[in-house]
Parts: sequence; structure tokens; C-alpha cells
Amino acid sequence: MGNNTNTFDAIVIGSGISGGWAAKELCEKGLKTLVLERGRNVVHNKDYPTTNMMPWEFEHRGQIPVDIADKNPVVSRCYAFREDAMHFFVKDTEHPYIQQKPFDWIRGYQVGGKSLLWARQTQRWSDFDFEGPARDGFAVDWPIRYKDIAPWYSYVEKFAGISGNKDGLDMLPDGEFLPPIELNDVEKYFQNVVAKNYNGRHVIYGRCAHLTEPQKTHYDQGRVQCQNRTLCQRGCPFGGYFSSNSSTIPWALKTGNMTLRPYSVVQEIIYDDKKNKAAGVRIIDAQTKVVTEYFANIIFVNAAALNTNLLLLNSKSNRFPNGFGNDNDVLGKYVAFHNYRAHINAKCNDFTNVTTEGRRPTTAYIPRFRNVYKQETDFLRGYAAGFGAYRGIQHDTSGFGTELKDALASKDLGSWYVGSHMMGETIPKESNYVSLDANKKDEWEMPLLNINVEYDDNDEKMVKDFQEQMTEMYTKAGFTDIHVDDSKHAPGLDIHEWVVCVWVKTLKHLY
Amino acid sequence: MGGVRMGKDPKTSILNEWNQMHACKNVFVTDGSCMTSTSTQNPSLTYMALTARAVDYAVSQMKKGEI
Amino acid sequence: MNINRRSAIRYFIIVGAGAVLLPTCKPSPKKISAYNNISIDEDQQAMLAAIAETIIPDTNTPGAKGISAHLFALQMLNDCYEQKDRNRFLTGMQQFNKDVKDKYKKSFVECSPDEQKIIVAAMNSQKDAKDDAAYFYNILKGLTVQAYTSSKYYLTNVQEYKLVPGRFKSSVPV
Repeated sequence: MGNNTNTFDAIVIGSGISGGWAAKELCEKGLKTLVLERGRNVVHNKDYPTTNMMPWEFEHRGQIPVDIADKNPVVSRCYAFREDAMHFFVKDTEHPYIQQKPFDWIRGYQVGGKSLLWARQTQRWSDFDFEGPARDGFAVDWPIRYKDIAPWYSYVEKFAGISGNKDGLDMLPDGEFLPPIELNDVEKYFQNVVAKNYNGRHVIYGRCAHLTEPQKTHYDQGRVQCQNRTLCQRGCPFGGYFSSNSSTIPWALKTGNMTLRPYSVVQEIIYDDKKNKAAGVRIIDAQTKVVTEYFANIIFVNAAALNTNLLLLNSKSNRFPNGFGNDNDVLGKYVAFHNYRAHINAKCNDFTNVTTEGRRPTTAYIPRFRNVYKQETDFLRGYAAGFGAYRGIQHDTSGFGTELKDALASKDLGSWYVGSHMMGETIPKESNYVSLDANKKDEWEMPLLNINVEYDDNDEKMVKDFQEQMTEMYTKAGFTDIHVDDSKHAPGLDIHEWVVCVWVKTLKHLY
Repeated sequence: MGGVRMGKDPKTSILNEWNQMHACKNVFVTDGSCMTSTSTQNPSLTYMALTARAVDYAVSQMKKGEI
Repeated sequence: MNINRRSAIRYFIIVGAGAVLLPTCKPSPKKISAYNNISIDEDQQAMLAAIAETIIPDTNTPGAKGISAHLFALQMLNDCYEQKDRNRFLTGMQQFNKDVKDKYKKSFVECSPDEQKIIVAAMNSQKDAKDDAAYFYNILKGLTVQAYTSSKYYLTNVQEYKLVPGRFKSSVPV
């Protein structure tokens, strides 16, 4: 492609979980590829400053100082925004946006994006998912079906490394699995209770992007077996979980075809009226504010969902006066998310003769069981759930003096606690949309994003149903002290929380 | 997720079955914005698979001179 | 804080000679400059150290004093608490100090170990945190326990923390 140093075969906008894959695939196919990342570079291992720190080495033992939390209320609501990983999160104050309705927009502006911070849980879709909008009459029909994507699931699973168990479920197709991460005795017990009492409800091993038994392709990436640190959000020195930083980005770099340009805020995709296609992109350097244009034959947009909307809406031309590719006024609309509001915790009084040892990066998973084969409730679609059981040392801290000191040295175990949280499908609607603010811009000349997204009646019904169904399942299992909770938190928080919420709540019971 | 959704009909969607823009053939969108619906699964694995699939298609189209 | 031994002796002599002169003889305690959000002087810091030490004593192993739990408590109070909570803590601390002085005619630091235990036992049995002094005590106790249980000593010698467990065993007999 030409002799201009600003011209490439392909441009990838964003280096997170999908941008990293685009970079790897394009480079492997021999295309000279420019990867533009708006944040700083984060090199695997080298730029994980907290990764080997011990708990006592954190000044506030993980807690976020109140002046930072007060200034950044949105990101502070994310479970992973703690002292050990806060450098990988965008602070509210640095990158404002407009919440026409409350929305917790969680962002990671660095090479690797949120792939450093994700919950690493990986389940395939089935045709019950791809056929959902057509069957239930919302949104538009997906243009693909499971058979179209199945071989590509296999392809990415082998490279990323996905642990899981072949469960043979039609609503959650099996993948190319490394050995699963074991369930504990209470989780297995609940699995049996649910299997005995319900048709079509399953409690299975969590499927996650952790190397339980690395293969050659993983060693070739420089990654080794997951060491069960469960400190993933700091960046993993073992490459035990999949991130762009540990996997796709260094892989793309190794081909010699990738040029990575950090601090590149893409302002606009440039349209070429003569050739009737995109010519390239205009970026502004995040630090120097110098504006540069880059050109390529193929452009991949992987800026993360809402920033991709922002970029396309802002890319206006004679051909696309309402935003790039937006001939139909659909761009920015039909935004949807996952509903994570409901939790249910309880106590299990049995299994006092066993416990667990070490840590693990996943728990059990309950695939969607509502409205799978046919519509059966007064709400559309359904929810999956995480489920975990935990037992730990329980200290009686009521005393003081040597009595308290002795109590804190005790190795006596408390009861088992169980926890579950919902992951509900929300219905994409025209009224859930994002748009550009007409006046306000950020310091890189980008309009601020207006976010207009909210729950609806379908979501409320689903929260209630999760609480009722899980309460029934817990009751059948004989769990006691059942506590249901609706956090009512705003939409967003899209780093999908996992078991952490369960443990935090459990620990609150203990102290 | 969504906002740049995939679909069969250029009148009601932005991207086709290859995550390629209906209205501009050399632009592909394969992050969460392409999602027509969200289902219940954690979405990242699907983004990865859609991306690898879209790149394969894009490069084959480029080689055919279609892009 | 280390009390210079000779000055401590002199101090007790003065007390013996006539307590009335005491306030004018003793210079007002020095403010601690390390904390920008809370006003704490050396005497108050010494009192916090002594209370923390009564909550988790140094025995043949380190306790609150050995791991400087009171310094962690002050750091957390300064950085991780809302201003209204910091204020309530400080008000409660003064209240506690006054209650001790009213009852024992001396400061908590000057009380004998047995007196200190009696004072802390009384605080520890209070369930009602509406009282500022009780609020102060509960926060200090919570932070002392947190300091101790997250200390290097505790996590290497008492309940071992493994940075790299290397495995997960799903079922282990108790």
C-alpha cells in the first residue's frame, strides 16, 4: 500500500478484547495493520505495577480513599475499582459524559482496554439466543445463526484457552474446553437438588478463559497455567487468563505487521466520496493534541460499544450527514445491557466435615431456564445466574485483649454460605439510545455522549422472578437465612461482576 | 451493547451478517455495539468469534477486489 | 511514641509535689503533621496506641503495638472516612479522654494496665453506638483488628496468605 508512512492495509480502532483479536487476525493474514489505542501502552508483565504486592503493602488495604471515591462516584460503584487495579480504570472526572438517565459507564483506556479487568466468564450462544428477537418479536432478526459462528467459537476458544465441562445442554453449547475448575461439595449438592427437582434447570461448572491445562498454542504465547491467584484485575504475570495484553497483542506484534499507536483518540472515520468508501481516520494525540490522518483499505471499529457509537455518530460527511453508515437513523439506538440487580444469599448448615483449599477464578453457572423452548412467563426472555458456595475461617471479634487475639488466631471454620446473582437479558428498544451532545466537548474535541438508557417493566418482572425462583430452589436445598436483594443500581457497570459480590456479602455476615 | 446492530435489512440495521457496514463495505464493527440482542451470556467470547469471522471475510473480500 | 524515661520520672515527681502546677509546667502537646484531614496531637496519638494495645496486646507475639496498628487507624481515618465520620471520631475521642480523666483523675496512658483493661472492657460491652465515645471506640477497634489481621506478621505467621496458591482443592476433610 503506497509509500506514505501514514498508510496501512488495515486500521483497528481499539485494542481491547475484540480489537486485539482483529489485530491478531489481520496481522497473521499478512496485512500491515495500525492499531490505534486512545490510552497509554500497557505491556504484559512490565506494566502491572501491583501484580506481586502483598495485602499489607497497600496503604489502605485495597480500599479507595474517600476523596477519589467522592470525585468518581460512577467508577467507584464497580466491584473491581480497588486500590490494586484503579490505575486501569477511567476516572469519571477525566472523561465526562452526560447521564440523561443514570448509567454507570465503566471504561478502561489503555492498551488491552477492559480485557485486563473482565470477569473472564465465557459461554457460547445457542440458537435460542440468535432466534430470540425473531421469535419474540423485538428488535430485528439476527442475520446469523449458531452454525455460522460455531466454528469461530472453536477457533477463538482454542487460542484463548477456555476451561469448562461438556454438559451437552442445547441452550449452552459445549466448546473446546480445557479441564473444568471443580465445584465444591455444596455446589455439587445444589447441582443434584436442582437436577432432581426441575426439568431444564442445570447447575454447571463455570466456563472461563483460564488455562487449567495449557496447550502448545498457549505456551507459544508465553502463557502458562493459571496459578489460582484470583488477582486477575492486576494483570497476570503467568498469562493464566486471556487478555489482549498477554495474548493477541504480543502475538500480532510478533508477526512484524502491527504498528501500535497509543494515545490516539480517533475523532472521525473519513469518507472518500470518489471511491465510495472509508479512506481512513483522523486522530488527535491524547497528549500533544496534534491531529493526524491515517489511511487504510479496511477499517475495524473496536472502540467498545458506547465509544464506537460516539465515533460513528461523530463521523459526518456529505454522504453520511447523520453519522457514519447511518442511512436509516438506527445508529445509537436499541442499546441494551445486562441486568445484574438481584442477588440471593443464604446459609448451608450441612457439609461441616469438609472445606476447600486454595482459590479459584470461577464458580458454578446456571444457564437460562426461563422461556427457553417457549414463552411461559409474563416477561420476555430470561436470566442466567452465577452460583457459588464458600466456607472460611470465622472469627469471633466480640472480645478484646488476649481473648480477642486468641480468637483471631483460631482456625475454626464457620458455616458454608451460598450466593447467586442474576444476569438478565434486557430488550433493545429504540427509546434506549445514545446521542452526541450539541454543545459540550471534551478536551480532545469530541462531543460528550448523552446516555439515555433505563430499565423497563420487563426487567422489574425478571428481577422478581429470579428472586422467587432462586428462593424456591434454595428452599428445596434446605438452605437457611435466605436473603434476597435488589441493588437497584443503574444500568451499565458492564464489567460483568462475578463471584466477588457473593464473597463480599458473605464476609459482611462474618464480621 | 448495541447501537450499531447487525441485521438482514439495511433499512433497519447498520451491519450485515459479516459485521460489515451495509452502507460502506470497508468498515467492520465487531465490538459490543454490533449486538442485535444481548442474551444472558457474558458477551466477550462472542465478540472474539465475530471478530475472527469478520476478519476472515474482510480479507477474502479484499483479495477478490470487492473491498 | 516513646516517653523519655527521665522526663517521665520528673513528671511523676511533679505530680507528687502538687498537681495544681501541672498544666502550666507541661508544654501543650505537639500536633502530628502527617494527617491533613484530622487534627491529632502527640498525646492523643499515644492514647490511641495504648487503647489499640489493650484491644490486641503484644504478648510473646506482636500485637497492636508491634504492628503500629494506631498509625494504620489514623491513616485510614484520614484518607478513607467522610469528614462527618472523622469529626465524630475526634469528638468521641475527646469524650473518651474526658470520661477517663473525670473518673481516674489521670489520662488513659497514665492508667495502670488493670485500669486500662477495666476502661476498655466497659467500652467493649457497650452496644449503643449512638454515644460518640462508643462510636470512637468501635471504629478504633475495627481498624485495630483490620490492621492486625492484614499485617505482614499476621498473614505470614498466624493465618498464612498465599499470593500464589497454585491450586484449588474442591473438597478437603476437616
